[in-house]
Amino acid sequence: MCSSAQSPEPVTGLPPARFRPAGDSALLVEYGEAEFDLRLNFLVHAVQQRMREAAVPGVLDLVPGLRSLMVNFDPDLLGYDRLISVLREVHGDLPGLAELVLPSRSITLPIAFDDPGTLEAIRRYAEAHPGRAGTDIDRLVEFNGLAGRDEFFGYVLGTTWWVAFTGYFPGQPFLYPMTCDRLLVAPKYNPPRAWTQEGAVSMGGPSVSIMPLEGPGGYQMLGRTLPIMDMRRTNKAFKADPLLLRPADRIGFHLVSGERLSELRSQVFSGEFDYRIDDGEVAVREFLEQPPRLAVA
Amino acid sequence: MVAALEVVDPGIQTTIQDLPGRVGSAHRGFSPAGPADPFSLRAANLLVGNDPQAPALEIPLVRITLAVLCEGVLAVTGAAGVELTINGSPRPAWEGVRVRPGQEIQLAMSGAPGFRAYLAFSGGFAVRELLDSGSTYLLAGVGGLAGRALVAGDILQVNAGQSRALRMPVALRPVFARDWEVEVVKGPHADPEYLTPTDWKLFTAEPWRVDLNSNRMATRLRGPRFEWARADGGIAGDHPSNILETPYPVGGVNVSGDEPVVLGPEGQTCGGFVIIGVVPRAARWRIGQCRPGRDTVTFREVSVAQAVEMAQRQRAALDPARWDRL
Repeated sequence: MCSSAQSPEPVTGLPPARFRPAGDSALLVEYGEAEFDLRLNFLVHAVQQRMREAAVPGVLDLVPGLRSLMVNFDPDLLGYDRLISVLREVHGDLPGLAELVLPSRSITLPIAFDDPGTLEAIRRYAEAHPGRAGTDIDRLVEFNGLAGRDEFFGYVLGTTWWVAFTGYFPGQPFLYPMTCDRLLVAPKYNPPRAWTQEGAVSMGGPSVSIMPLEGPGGYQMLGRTLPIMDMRRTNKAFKADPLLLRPADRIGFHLVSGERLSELRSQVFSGEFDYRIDDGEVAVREFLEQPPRLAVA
Repeated sequence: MVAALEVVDPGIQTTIQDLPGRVGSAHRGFSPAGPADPFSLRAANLLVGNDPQAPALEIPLVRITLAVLCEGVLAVTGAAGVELTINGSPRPAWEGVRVRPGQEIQLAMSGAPGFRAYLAFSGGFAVRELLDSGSTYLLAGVGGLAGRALVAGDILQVNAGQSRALRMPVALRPVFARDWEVEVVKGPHADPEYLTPTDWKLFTAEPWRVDLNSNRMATRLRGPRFEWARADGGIAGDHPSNILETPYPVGGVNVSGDEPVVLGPEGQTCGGFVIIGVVPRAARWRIGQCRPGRDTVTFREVSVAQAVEMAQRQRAALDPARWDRL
């Protein structure tokens, strides 16, 4: 559910930060408590952005998680104490959470639910694990007590999805709903699936992900979208960067048929297709002030 | 660029790796890749006159056969059990060896400890860089030679460069073992919040068996089970090892369910399980040299300051001014 448990708490101050050493060349900063609360992720991105601007010598990478930020650093150039004091300065200089404005691109992607590749992966898994019937979407409809598949499709298509972080595989986004009047969740495959197609859109817990390449997976499969990684850079969307999606992007899905998706994917590879990417920003206040809230529980 | 070596038998999964690897792109989901044993890769390069971070071959199970295509100097380091032969004659590891076209180089493994050998060639292997690194990242199919492990018939090019031939004194070489002691720094999710103090003692006292199913992504450990300090992972999942998705450090001891793994150079960049400890930079080579299915690891807790000192001492051993000129 989109939670109202913590509202209408005015978000002016910042959630507490915990500094946790992660070896001799990484520091993990955790914000707030262990809750699905996108406000914490906005804070992570705000800190990442300001740390990047600060260009602290010795900082090698700033890696966002859901409510944490890992700083990889070179201990020859930067010690823990100095790094923590820089982070404290950045925290101190931040405006309240509600004042944060984050640069955020808006990207629209087609999705075909239960496309042939998804059904093939389900068939392969069912062969190895008899007794599993129906599609993953059917399972999620039942798991979440929905009236039918259309209600589930409406959830995916009607939600603006926030790229909270990317990882596991290169460019693999983990999407969380920014707008929803109800949060759906998905159990994970147990045991995991040996094969998932590239471009698969899947859901685990409250998060939705897209596979940049084929591989194993544990999320329930919803369908397929366009390629989000292209090391050969055949489409101009990948000319400057082989990975389409970045943390703090917003994704919207629009419905296409399996056949239409195949056509669009061909157009991507032939270079004809233009990905729809718009620059923009997210003002955290707007989301805090109007229901439904970002915070989900 | 000149063709230096032709692959006759590629071995089980030989890849080209460099240092520091693809650092700085973990936020995009790229693990750094790079060698599992960075010390041996640096040493191999320095022995032949290369930049210590230059691309070199990582050869698991120490098995490969190569044909020499040009004159140069090569050096083999890594696993104590490495047996190098040139046209069938044994030659020493840990020193530069002059080679000429037509020779056949073969590596094989004796019963001695260690798992991975490194081979550097004067000039350094020429690879196309992605995100400032030529390291092979098998999972994503990038770096090295076409993003994959070597296959028979591959031709390895080297850059033009000056060569030299040095020998690393035995006293400066790393000590290999079957039962390894590996330093670990307490991680972000250890005791008392996630593990009990007893669990942490167990973790740092008991020998862990290195599972056969270990690779550049993860070294899997088998051993005792933890009690855990909490009943479940709360909103993150049923198991106490579940946490909300967080970035992972290289060398992290990541426990999913009841199975710890040490995240390797191709380990995943994030996930939803605790990091109870982190193997610091200077100790990662030991994990990289553990032979899957045979070796054991006993962890010894060190402080961050001690870990930084270890790295400094290790660097001092890699000063070629202290090595013998051949």
